[in-house]
Amino acid sequence: NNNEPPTFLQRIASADSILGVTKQRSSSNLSTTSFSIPMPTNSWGMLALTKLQDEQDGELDDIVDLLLTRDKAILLLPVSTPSHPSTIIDREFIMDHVVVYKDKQKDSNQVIALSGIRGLFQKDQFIALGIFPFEISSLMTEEPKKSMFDSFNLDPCSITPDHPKYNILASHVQLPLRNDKLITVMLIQRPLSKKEVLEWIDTKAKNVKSIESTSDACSSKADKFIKKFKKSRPKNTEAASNKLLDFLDDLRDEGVEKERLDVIETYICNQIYDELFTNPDGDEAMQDEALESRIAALNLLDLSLEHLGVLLQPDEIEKMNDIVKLAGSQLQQLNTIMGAKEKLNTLVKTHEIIVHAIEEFAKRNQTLDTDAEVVQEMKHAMSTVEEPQRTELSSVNADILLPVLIFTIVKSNPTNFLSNLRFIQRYRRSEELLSGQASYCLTNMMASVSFLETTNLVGLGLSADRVYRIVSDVVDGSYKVFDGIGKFWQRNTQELENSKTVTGLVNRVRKVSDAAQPMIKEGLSELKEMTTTSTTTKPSSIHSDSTTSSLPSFMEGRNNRTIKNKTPLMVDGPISKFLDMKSVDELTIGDVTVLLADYKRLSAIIKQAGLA
Amino acid sequence: MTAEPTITRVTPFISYGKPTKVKLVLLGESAVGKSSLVLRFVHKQYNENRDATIGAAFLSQKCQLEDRVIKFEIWDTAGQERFHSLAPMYYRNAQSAIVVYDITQYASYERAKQWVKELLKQAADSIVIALVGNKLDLEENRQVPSEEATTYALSNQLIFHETSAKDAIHVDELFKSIGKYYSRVSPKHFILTITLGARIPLSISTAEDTFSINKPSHIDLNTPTTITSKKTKNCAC
Repeated sequence: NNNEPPTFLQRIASADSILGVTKQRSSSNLSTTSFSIPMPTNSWGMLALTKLQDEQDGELDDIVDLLLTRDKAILLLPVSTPSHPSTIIDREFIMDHVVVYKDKQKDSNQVIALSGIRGLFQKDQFIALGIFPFEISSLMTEEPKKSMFDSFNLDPCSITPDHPKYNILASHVQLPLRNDKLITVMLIQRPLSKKEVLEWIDTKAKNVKSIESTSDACSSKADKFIKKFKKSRPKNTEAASNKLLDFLDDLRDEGVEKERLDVIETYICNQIYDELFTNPDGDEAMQDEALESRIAALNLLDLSLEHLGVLLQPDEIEKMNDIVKLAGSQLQQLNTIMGAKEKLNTLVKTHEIIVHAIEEFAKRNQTLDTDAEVVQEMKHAMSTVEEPQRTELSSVNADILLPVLIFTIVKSNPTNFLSNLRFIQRYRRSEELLSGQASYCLTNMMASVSFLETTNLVGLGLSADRVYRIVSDVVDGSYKVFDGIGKFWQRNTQELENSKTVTGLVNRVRKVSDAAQPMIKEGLSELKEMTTTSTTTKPSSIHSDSTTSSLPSFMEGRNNRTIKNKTPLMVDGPISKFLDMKSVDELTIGDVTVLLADYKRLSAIIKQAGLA
Repeated sequence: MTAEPTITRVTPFISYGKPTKVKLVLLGESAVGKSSLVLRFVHKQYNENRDATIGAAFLSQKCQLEDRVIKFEIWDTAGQERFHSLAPMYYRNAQSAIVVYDITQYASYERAKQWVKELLKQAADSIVIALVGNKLDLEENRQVPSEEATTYALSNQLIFHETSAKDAIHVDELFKSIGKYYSRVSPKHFILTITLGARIPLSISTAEDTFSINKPSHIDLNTPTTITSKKTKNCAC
């Protein structure tokens, strides 16, 4: 255990002592300590802080006292902004965001919020574990009892990917609270919410309930299977898939009914979810991240339905955005649902939401003005069959469904999307995956992902001007985004050339780029240069064969699936070690030289691209 | 392209008592009326259709053929050029494909031929392909001559029909002639038929007249024999 990197709290601890010095030197000078992470004045965190600083309003005095006097209490400030401008910060909100440590010893990373949310700090994240079941008002006046934490002294391994998680952006920012007294706060990305944690617990409870209803001969077999599975873990997910499916096939052959098999499938998925789901440190998790950053780049470039070939009237755009939002919220749940069947149902539901909403939408438009101000494209894409007696029967077909699905994925950017699709592919019983509507829905999702992984910007008609501007806008602000776009450009042609099945497409893509205006072409080559020069000395290396998309693995069947592990050749972005640092305190003297060299390298790239 | 053993593709949908499931993919440019065709086919029982809830993108329809019930599962694909490369994900494992063009748009016919070529090269060897010229109701604007398409279909051993989804012309015939491939054969013969006879055109219908080729000369017992016009009840065909 000694070889492990310092825990989050240890880092805070070491930083604290240095900060103690800073504190004295700069006294109450706030600007020196709240430097690196911008916190907008209208953010949740700023609003909460202002509320706490307000001495007129006595409502929060007890919490302020607690923060000022108790070492173990820490205030969490979300940097995101509320969607509604006149949001009121209430006591409840503050209670969610004041957490108390178990004890001063640094061996614990477990905390409890005044509102009762239990959680722990792990890998720069706050992970909610649950809600403390008893009255906790005593937290306000006395030290937390050790016993309070005993109930959740858990092994970190039992944390599943579905726990509500909150990213920590900065861990030991000093801010003045009242009368120039400083407190230590932590900046988090989005607000903690008791409601969210409660909802998560509910979903989990529902899953457990459906499991309890299986107490028959099968359930004991399932338990035996789980025990055996845990004892000798399969070496990879493919082996795990075969093991689970074989077990279910055997039950089926014994005459167990379909519904019962579904329940058992769900039960096992829930019980050994961690062993079945993609390893968070593995290659597939990296593919998830690559897709997520690619989608983030598409969002930055303002991908619209128009780019995907669906034209809408201005007044329809809003309506469509609502549909996409609703459908996207389904996709975002995918990662918290643990059963393969339930995950698959989520995909079907996403389809249904889109189809029904568009059909309703079209119906209303038809009745409102029969002369059809309805969008041409939409009308083309909707299939209609006229029936003499009744009204037109129109229905959403793939021409419109697929682009909207892709757009929904882009807008919602679901966590671990690829891994979740693979999970379904691996653990849903094959007879349910070979045919039927659900199978079609899964194929649509995989096709969408494959499209997002392989499509290039120019082909979509995303303006190169726009690309240019975005890159220059973000280049100093967020390297992550920069990196994402770099990858994006690089993968354009490369990927296509690798995949033999789509060679035809490459030619078309080329044609498109050739047809693009010289202006755009110029911008393009600049960007290409930007992505290549930083990695290697030969500028033509853009066509090297280094990437694969997940398309090939999707196309192969479950049994002869091979997983390609090649990682994309990327532009050397900024050195990640420095990006991960929370503060200057982590720098060593030697780092400064490295940092300067890298700064020069990056600025050369920017200059070369004509962005400076 | 390496063909997978035919047996794995065929076995899942052979089962007596239960309807034979046939996965059918729709290919063709946007706006040629791909899914209108299907909507016309399933229309009579559309409301009872409980297991399909996502519009015209996925539809299923049972079809009684003499001694066998076939359940078509019809997968729509996006026809836009930009989604072309995704098609293999859809036609993989499909037992049949309908490639649709618009008889009033020559370009859509060219595109359809591309699809056929791709299917012949990349899809399962046993796949049954039907070429369909839709919008027969717009005869006055015809750009694709019947003879040309018929010749192409014959030389590539495709089922060929000219249809009108709007006026319900030849739509049921189309699905019936696809269904014939999965009917009246013992499992053993069935597999043989699929592997050997799949690309032999069973029926061709155009605007002028409808005729059927019942017995391709070089295959005997494996091929479904007579095609009769005997109507069966409770059936969409």
